[in-house]
Amino acid sequence: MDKIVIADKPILAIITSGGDAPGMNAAIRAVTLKAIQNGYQVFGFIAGFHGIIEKDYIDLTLKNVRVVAVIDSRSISPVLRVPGAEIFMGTDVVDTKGRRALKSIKLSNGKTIDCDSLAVSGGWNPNLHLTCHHRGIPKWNEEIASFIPDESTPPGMSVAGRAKGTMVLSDAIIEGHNVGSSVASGLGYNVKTLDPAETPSVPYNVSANWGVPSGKNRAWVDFQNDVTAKDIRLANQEGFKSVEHVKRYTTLGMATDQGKTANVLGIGIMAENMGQTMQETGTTIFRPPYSPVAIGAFAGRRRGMEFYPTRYTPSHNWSVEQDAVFVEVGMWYRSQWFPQPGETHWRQSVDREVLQTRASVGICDVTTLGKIDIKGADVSEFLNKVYVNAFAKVPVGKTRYGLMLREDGMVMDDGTTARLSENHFVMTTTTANAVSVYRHLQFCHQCLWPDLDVHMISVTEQFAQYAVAGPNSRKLLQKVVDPECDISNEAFPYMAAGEITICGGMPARLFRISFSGELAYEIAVPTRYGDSLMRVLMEAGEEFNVIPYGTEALGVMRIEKGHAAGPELNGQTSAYDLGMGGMVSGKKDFIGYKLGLREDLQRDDRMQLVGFKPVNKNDLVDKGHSLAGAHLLGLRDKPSTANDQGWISSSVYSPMLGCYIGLGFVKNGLNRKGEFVRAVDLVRGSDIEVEICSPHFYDPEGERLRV
Amino acid sequence: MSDYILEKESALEGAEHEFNGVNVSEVIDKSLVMVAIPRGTLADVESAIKKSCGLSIPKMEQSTESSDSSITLWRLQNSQVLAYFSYEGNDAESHLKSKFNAPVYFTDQSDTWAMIRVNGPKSRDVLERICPINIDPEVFPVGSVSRTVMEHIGTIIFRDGDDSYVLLTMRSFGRSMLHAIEVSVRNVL
Repeated sequence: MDKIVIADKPILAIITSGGDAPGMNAAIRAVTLKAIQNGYQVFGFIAGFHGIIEKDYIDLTLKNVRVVAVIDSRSISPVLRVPGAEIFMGTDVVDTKGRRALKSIKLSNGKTIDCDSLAVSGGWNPNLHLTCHHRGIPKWNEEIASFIPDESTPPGMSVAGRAKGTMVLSDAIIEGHNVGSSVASGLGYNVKTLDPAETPSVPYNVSANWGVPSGKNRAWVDFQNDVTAKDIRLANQEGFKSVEHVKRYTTLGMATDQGKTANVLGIGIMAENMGQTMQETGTTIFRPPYSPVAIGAFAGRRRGMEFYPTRYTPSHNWSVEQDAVFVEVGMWYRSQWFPQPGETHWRQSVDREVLQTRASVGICDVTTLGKIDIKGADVSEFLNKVYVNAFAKVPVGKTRYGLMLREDGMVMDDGTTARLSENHFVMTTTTANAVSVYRHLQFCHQCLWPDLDVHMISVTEQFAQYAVAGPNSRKLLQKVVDPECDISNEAFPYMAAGEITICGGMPARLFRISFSGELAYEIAVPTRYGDSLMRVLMEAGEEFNVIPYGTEALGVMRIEKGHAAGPELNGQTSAYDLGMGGMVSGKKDFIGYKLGLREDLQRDDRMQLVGFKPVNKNDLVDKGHSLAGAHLLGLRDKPSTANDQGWISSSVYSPMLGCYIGLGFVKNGLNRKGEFVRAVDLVRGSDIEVEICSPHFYDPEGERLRV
Repeated sequence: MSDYILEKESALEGAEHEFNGVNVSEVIDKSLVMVAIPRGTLADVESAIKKSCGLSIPKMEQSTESSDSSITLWRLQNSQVLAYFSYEGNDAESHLKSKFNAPVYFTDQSDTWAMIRVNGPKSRDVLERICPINIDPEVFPVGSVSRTVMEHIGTIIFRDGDDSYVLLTMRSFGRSMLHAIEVSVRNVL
């Protein structure tokens, strides 16, 4: 203490506690201001006595700041006296000088004042946003030149004090007390009458000033979004008369203060410009963060487990026991791969899962795929209208792959639909589109074809479904499927479907479908048996060295096989672009048919789905990243937007081909197989030569599926 | 006889938690079957189920009970009702079919949902924190049923007693729902 100075002024030290203490800053500020007013020099010691011992303090007295002038546009007698400052009443600041920093300001009385900062205040604005946010319409109050809340506040909301436009502090305190008391007594509490705190009754004296003539100079209105007075007038001139339209045209009041600092001024300019009152002009809807809101308040308690819900698959507990690595797929937690002892890199696990599945048999939990049971007399007609390919005559016991378009002819989703009985179908969708496809079907039924007898319900969660894939998949399943259900190749061929029993009479559904390109099945049981079925399949598969595989191996196998998935069904691709033009029926009408005929969608030079493989098989192997996201260029083209021929949408290392492979889109791709282009990834710094090839890298004839 | 046996497991492994004034427990003795009414047959179906088990088709967001109180019907969509009934076996569709004796489409939904009962004198206090619809006893009397969203999770809420509510959420969301209820219990008690 003895080392801090001093002067002939009395000194005041304030010792603060550590940590957050609500109201502390306000208290320090009040004490400091009062002390300075009384001629004290004030120091603040930080973190209590620690600050005194360590001399950790700051001088709270305003230092090196000299107020040179107070300029007040009101023609009244001066309100604020600052020692050493000139006072100008009824005067405006009309111009500023200084390029990188302020040098001087020019006043309306012609005087120039040298200064390096200009602080501007336009008076108070009531905190309107909580009433406005609930659709209260603010009312203009001329006396305080502000909008105030309407009397009709939402039920349960009372407004008091400055938020209501009661600007004099002493009045606001009394009003707060009265409103608080009446709300409390309304809730059945006893109310005490207390004497209000004494404050000097300083009158609130404000008048509107919507700007000063600025000539050709820009007059800023919204400092956050750089909106000028001229922008607002221009918006009016362009025909934007509604305050909501002006807001959106100019971005006035769209910044983080939600218009708190700029909107009243902007509305004033509009009103003046359009010759109408403030009330007629009206406000936009002020909302939080109209006054500052801590970011944490937006998150609230939505942290950790409360951030959003998690969906667990039927094999989750089992997968945890296997030390699976999980991945979030939307809200789902899925097994990504299953590391085995000795595997130190994810690629080792994934490559093994692929090789083992293709060599023998692997199991993957595919419960997350959307499943919709559709029943009724008119289901085949309904499906025929929503899929591009024929569904009118799917026989009972068969599954068919279907492609669904949006009305604009772009592919929406794909999946298989099986006919389990005359009036009963079950549709599968991708995991990502499970909800949107269901919604689409409901729309089609309820709005487009309400006369059809069609009833659908999601059974995604009713059944635990596992893909059992690989040359030994049938042998494995034959061990658990009841002997009276014949699943031999003859009795249950590729694309067969049926309701069967397993493990001694337990109900199940079996589909002979394949995403991996192998002989494969998907088997579904009521979810209550899902965990148990995973364990049973693993036990029954021991003699075949069965392995579980995760979403990564699933992805590798589908890319090797050339199946389109999410990155290909990106909303910009037609059935033709995906190489599935041949599936599109010309004999019926279906959603997307008409708009799919648009000339532009038939052009040859559209981006079409093809495969890509590196000319040099070892390319990228040392870099350890795939082709995904690379752009395609001619062999000698510079990487520029103008030269861009397409992109790689999905890419993985293929353990079967021993190199990276990719699916992607390139102009006129279907006619360019055998051509060479470059896959350039400027982000990861790779530029390799690739061959355009069929997307079906693995078993293109599909012989493995049908054995 | 098969070499392998499937063991069943409920969505929440029979979770049961008692707190002071509220119990949270998984409902494990009920089945749920969607009953779709073929187009144009509402009147026929109604008279058939009235005859076979004394059930009438409830109004929207309400429920009805069979004469022996074993089956409750919920109405949440125009052309469908959900049948909620005591049955723990594998073939809820056939079980219901035998009682209904009506030309409708049945789809088992028993495994689709995690069902959690919140009951006790504090049950409403707990639910008010997470349930956006008004469950005031006057507007949501016993037997009311509604679809809503709680904590981002699509939920069916059914009031099955004075101080008792059954919440149904898709099975995969079950743990998150149970967690949400328990958090609410901690906040309220």
